[in-house]
Amino acid sequence: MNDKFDELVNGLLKQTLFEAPAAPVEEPKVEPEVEPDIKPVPAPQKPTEPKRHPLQPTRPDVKPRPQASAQKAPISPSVEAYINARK
Amino acid sequence: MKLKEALDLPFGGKYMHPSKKKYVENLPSHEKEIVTGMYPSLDKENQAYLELITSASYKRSVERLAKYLDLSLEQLHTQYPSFSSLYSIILSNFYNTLEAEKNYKEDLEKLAVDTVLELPEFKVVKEMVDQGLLTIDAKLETPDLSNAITQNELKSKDGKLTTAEKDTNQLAVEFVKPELDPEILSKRSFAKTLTQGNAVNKFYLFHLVEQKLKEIDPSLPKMYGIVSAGTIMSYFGMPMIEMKKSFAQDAAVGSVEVENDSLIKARGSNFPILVHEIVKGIYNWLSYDIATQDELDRETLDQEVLELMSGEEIYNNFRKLISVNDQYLIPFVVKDLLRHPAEVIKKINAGGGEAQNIMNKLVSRARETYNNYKDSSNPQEEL
Repeated sequence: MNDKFDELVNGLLKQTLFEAPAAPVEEPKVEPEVEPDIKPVPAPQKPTEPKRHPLQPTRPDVKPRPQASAQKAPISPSVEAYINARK
Repeated sequence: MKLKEALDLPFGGKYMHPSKKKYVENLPSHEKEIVTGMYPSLDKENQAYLELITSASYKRSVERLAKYLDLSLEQLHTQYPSFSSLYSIILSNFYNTLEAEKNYKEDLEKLAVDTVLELPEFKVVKEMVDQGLLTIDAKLETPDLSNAITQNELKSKDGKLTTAEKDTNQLAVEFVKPELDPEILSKRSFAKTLTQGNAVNKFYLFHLVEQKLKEIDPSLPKMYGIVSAGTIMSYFGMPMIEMKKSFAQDAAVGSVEVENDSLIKARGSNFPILVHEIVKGIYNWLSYDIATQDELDRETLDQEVLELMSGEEIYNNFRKLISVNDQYLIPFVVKDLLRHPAEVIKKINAGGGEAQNIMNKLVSRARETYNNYKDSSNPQEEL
């Protein structure tokens, strides 16, 4: 009788000490209801060129020569001398 | 068919130097090749178109000079029987403007830019300046022509080749098709003539800010008028000479350079000349990109003489085809027109119903381009 009792106790002890207890069964959590996100997901951005103005030059690789004004105007001393010389 | 007898100048064109008359009536071949592409009725036997528009520009300049000197045309020709006799009065007024302006340079530089950009024609250019897409650097300073070239220099460059270079050059001439497209040269010449004509017209913008100028010196507006009209007269009155760089640099009173695709550097000796240069710079900025670097490098200071003598009439005829309410579209129209064959430009220059029809289409396209740019995120596709 004692042997059977010891066997039972040892068995229980062994089970308690060395065997992992069964995980407690958790009740499923109920997630609180969340308002749906109404913000649209931004579309992936296409790499775009900077916005060009239609008046902007289309050939930045070329460069015009400077223009002058009144290069033969009678308002430079050198021109004055020139005109006087031809009078 | 000859449209009209040669140059038709008031009082026998007393202020036009005989060598200039001869030049217009018998253009040198390199000039003729260029302008034949854009002017109607201009061929070997017939220069009537060029003569007509040059006569009209001359007449307008003489009338202006008489007005600013408070003289009738008859009185002007009696008191000043030759161009040389006008010289001292133009020169003294020029120096008087410099003296009057010397303590107000910064104010006048800003006023020059604002005056140009306030015009309906430059409304969109002003928007670009405000958005930082274009910078106008305007200074009342000595002109800078260090990067310019004269016909004389262009020729001497060709002449200074070594024997080996000459051989290579000869081979290039014979076997390599030149990169210079006559169609493009004609279109650039038209663009530069239109530019000069517009800029001559804008010499007189000082009237828009007359009150402010009178606060600096009550006689400034009148002096500006004499100097402006006199400067244009000088293009007719001075003898036709082959220009040298040193002469051009000494005689120049203004210069403008498009430094890159978003910077215009204008220099002028006085306020109206600075305004004139700013306008030239904007139009050159609008039109230079139709040409290659080689084509742009062949543009000499000498060519500007003819462009200036005929430009005002070309510009006035062009502008008449566009209604007052559509003036803000002119820069778009110019840019679009230059993308068309030179034959279309010729039709515009000829005037009349066909020119008006073409212009109506260009204006309509210009409006659409501008509106699309404002509304759309990708305006490039629209032109």
